[in-house]
Amino acid sequence: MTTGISVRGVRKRYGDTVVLDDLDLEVGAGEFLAVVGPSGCGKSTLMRIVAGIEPLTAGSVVIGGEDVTYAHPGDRGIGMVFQDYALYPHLNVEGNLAFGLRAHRVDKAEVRRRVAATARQIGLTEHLAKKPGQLSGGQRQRVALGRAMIREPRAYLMDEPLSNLDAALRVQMRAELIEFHQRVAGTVLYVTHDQVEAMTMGDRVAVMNGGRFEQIADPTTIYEQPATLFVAGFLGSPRMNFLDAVTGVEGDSVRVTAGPLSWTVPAGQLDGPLPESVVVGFRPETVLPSGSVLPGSAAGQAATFAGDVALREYLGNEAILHLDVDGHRIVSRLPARVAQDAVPFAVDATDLHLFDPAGPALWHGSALRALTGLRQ
Amino acid sequence: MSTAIRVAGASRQRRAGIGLATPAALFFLIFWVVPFGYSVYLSFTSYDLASAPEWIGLDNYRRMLEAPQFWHSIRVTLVYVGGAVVPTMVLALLLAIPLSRPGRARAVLRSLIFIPAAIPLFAASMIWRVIYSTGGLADRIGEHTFGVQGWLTDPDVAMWSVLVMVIWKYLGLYVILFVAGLQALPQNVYEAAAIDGSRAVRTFFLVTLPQLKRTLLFVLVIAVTGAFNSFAPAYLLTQGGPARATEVFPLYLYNNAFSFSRMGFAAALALLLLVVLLALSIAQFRLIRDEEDR
Amino acid sequence: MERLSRRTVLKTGLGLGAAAGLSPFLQGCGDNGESGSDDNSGTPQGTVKVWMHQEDLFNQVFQSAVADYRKQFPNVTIEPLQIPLPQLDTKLQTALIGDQAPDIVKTGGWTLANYIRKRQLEPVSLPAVGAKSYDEFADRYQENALSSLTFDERVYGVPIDFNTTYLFYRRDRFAQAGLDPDKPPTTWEQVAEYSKKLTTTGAGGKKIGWQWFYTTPIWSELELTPLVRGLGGRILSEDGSSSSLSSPEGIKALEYVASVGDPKLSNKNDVYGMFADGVAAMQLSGVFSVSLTHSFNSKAVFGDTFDCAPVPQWASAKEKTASGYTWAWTVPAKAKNKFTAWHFINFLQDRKVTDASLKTAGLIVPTKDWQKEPVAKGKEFQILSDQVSYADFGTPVPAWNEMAQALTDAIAAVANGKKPADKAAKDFDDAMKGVLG
Repeated sequence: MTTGISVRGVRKRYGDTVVLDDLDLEVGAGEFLAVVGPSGCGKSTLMRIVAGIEPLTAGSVVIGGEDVTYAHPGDRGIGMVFQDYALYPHLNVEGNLAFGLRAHRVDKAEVRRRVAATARQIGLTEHLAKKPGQLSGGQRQRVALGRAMIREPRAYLMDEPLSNLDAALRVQMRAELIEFHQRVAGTVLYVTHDQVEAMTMGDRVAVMNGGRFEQIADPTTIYEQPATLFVAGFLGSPRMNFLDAVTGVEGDSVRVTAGPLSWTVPAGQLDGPLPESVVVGFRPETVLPSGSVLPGSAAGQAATFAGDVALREYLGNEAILHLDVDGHRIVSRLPARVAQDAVPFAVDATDLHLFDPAGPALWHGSALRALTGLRQ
Repeated sequence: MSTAIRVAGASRQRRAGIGLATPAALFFLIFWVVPFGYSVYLSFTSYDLASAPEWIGLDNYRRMLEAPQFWHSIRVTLVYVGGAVVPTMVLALLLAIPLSRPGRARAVLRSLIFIPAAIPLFAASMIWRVIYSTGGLADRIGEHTFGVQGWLTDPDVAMWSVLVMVIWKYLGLYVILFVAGLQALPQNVYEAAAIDGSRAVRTFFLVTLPQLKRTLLFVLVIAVTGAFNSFAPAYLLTQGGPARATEVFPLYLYNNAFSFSRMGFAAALALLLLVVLLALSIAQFRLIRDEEDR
Repeated sequence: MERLSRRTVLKTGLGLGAAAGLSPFLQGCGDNGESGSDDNSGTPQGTVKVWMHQEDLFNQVFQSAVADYRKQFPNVTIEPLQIPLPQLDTKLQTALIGDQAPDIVKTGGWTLANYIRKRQLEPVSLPAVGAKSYDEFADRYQENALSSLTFDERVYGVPIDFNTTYLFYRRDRFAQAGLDPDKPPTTWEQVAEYSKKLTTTGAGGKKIGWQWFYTTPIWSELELTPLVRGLGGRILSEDGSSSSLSSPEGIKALEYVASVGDPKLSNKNDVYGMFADGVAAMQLSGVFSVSLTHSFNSKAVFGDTFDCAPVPQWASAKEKTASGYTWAWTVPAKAKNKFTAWHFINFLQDRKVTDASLKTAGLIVPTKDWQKEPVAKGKEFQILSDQVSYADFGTPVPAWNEMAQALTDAIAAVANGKKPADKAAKDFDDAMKGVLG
């Protein structure tokens, strides 16, 4: 029923400030694509350009195969859910739902039928006569969703729709949105600054920074094979450990040394020669007590080191250890019961990510796993 | 013992309360209640400022209803109120919509349009008298364009000339109020309306106007009460003439009080005006309150 | 504010007959009159507060008179207060209710009836002015000059700024229209005829012959009075208790007003300004127009560009008539220093002061034989002097403001074609029923 969205070569400038720099994005029909990025990265601007409420400087927007770059927002066949809902405060729920239908001169009986159906779907049949001011946050959110749904749009645009909700409600509405997406099988372009939302909801995730896409991929790829330093650091909590490292060729291996930590990687597993200086990254959950390093790792492929626990955050099911390793700060996330004060730690080479200091990823240790068959 | 202390404390508090409230109460009594009561009393008397007021019962009110000039001034006032309020509000709203958007040029325009409101009414009236006089700007334009001559001297035209000045004078004030009201409206509601397929005109009537209702009512209240109370423009521009064509109610009241020394009659007129304005204000504020309750 | 409105003025009864008509208002005023003048021993002393409207030229004369007076009577302090004309009447009314009355006020003659009915003015103190009777006092002035200030055989004010109306006309406009500038119209019929010849519409805008004041109550009375009286009618009865505009004479006068002049024309200085600019070639005005016209247009020179003549008469008139008005020095009944007040007023009637008034400020004090003084040589003063004897100084009515406003309404309605003359006249008479008497 819904169709895809294509953003082609879209550029947006305010005076000399480039907000969006030559963006391309394809959202497939029925796909849920989450755009995530820090504030000011341009993700909302992108969405507003797709919606047609913000003019673009160059490029085109195609929805359902139709070039809508210069079409009125109301003629693009989209439904949008705003961060603060943007409900019509002077109209009751019924009026809010019906506004778009009436603007399109839909027959009265049909309006009634669709309002009733939509109200049922969003569970607000009892509240049709209420004004937005009399509804709870969750109910308003549902009205906003219902207003977007009722016109059976070709695509949905959602601009941080959960960010005004409290934590508990956010979890609940997140589930409702996922369920909604599955039910209507609608194309959704979803903008958020919350990595959890992006990872849990998106079929694919587009990570944006400084008006560009850093990476567009499914959540696993994004997490396992971040394309850039930024993506690696932005997603995951606590954040990935980064250490400056030097590389040196030792026979048919390459040694990667970051302070007291050092790994050797078979040169044949690399895509090419490494620069001398790299940034090595590994996620906190891969920093394990040395005894528990998964068996089967090739010798020398795990770096073992001793660290003093400078800070210990106990979370019940797990603990976050802030380790001081020869002046380097390394964070480890462990199941609470294995966390000890000072043990040798190890980081397996399969969990490494090497980055060019300028940003792009050079190599992911996961490549070794396919080789050993330990993990896929 | 403890009860006694509490009682003493309470009465001390009460005394302090009375002490603190007394100046305000006295002020209210001396400068409001007494003059108001005296006006009510005067309205039942014949009083020429010299001899003592003479009780004549309801004669002033009866005479009021019988006086053709009274009814004439009511008609003139209604024309004045309608002619001042409706066009000013419509024009102000039309101007406020483009001016409420951000932009330096618009900020400058907003200031420019406010200038007349900042000019003292007396000075403004002098300017317009020159504009309207024979050989003045309006006269030259009017004679050739509309065949109108005598903007302030033709009884059929004078009221409209006064109204043009009044609209010019107060337009800026209302524009500023409307701009403030418009800028306070949530912006993304307009974006939602656009996505819902609503075009400018529909959005104006179905989204902007309903949300602006409180500002509209507020401006309406000050505009209507201001217009009913409006004495100065007609007094300064035409002195109520020609042939009393611009003798609005407050001017009729003033003439009776200070030109004709009929203080009792004028007091009765003033009370009538007070009742009308009170009724209007109550009705208008009830509207606003109903709106807030919703 | 403007010199014109200051002078727009006038009102008064013709002689004692008119004054006698006021007696309904004056019953019981006798006590008031008696008590007036002996509030002290007959020695000028103390402080005298004087209120008058702003008039710079006269103020020079007044200040020097004060200095002379103080040389002779050093125990007296004169405190003048100049008040803008539009505020004078209201301020005085308020002061007279409270306890703030001044000792001397310059008052419009047409407002006297109102104050006197309210017993707020004091008659002339005979001891203070050194007269044995009011008749003897009146003999010090030109005949008819005190008529508008005399009520119930008592004199309540002393004239200052005494005026009759004139025909003012533009010699230059007459010459352009082929009329003899030395032969101004003497009849209203001629005025209408000349006015037609003087009306032109050219590049410089419309120019007309005669122009009336359409919005100024005092001028409504000054203009309509000679028209109605000249036909043998009256606007108000002699005793001021009723009106009779709705008479053949009143109606004809209103019709005449509508037949000449253009009520649509306006000027920021009213008719004075139109006359000064030459837009209007003729108007009725007072002697002050000699200097006022020149002050509005420095190219307009009296005797050269424009001139004055006696008020026109109807061709059929048996007797001459004109209108006139005066301002007066008066003393409020509540004044605290009445004797000295009258004493000082009397000093201002001294020939030296009155000559200076005429010479410096153009203000006439009509003491006996004033017109024979060298300073009164001018043609305008001689015409005025001639007109005084037959001029109507208005009928004293306490509700003068209301009456004059209604008269203005009638003129405006007829001139603008809003009502026929007979209807406007009848409406005026109807309105007056509740106001007069």
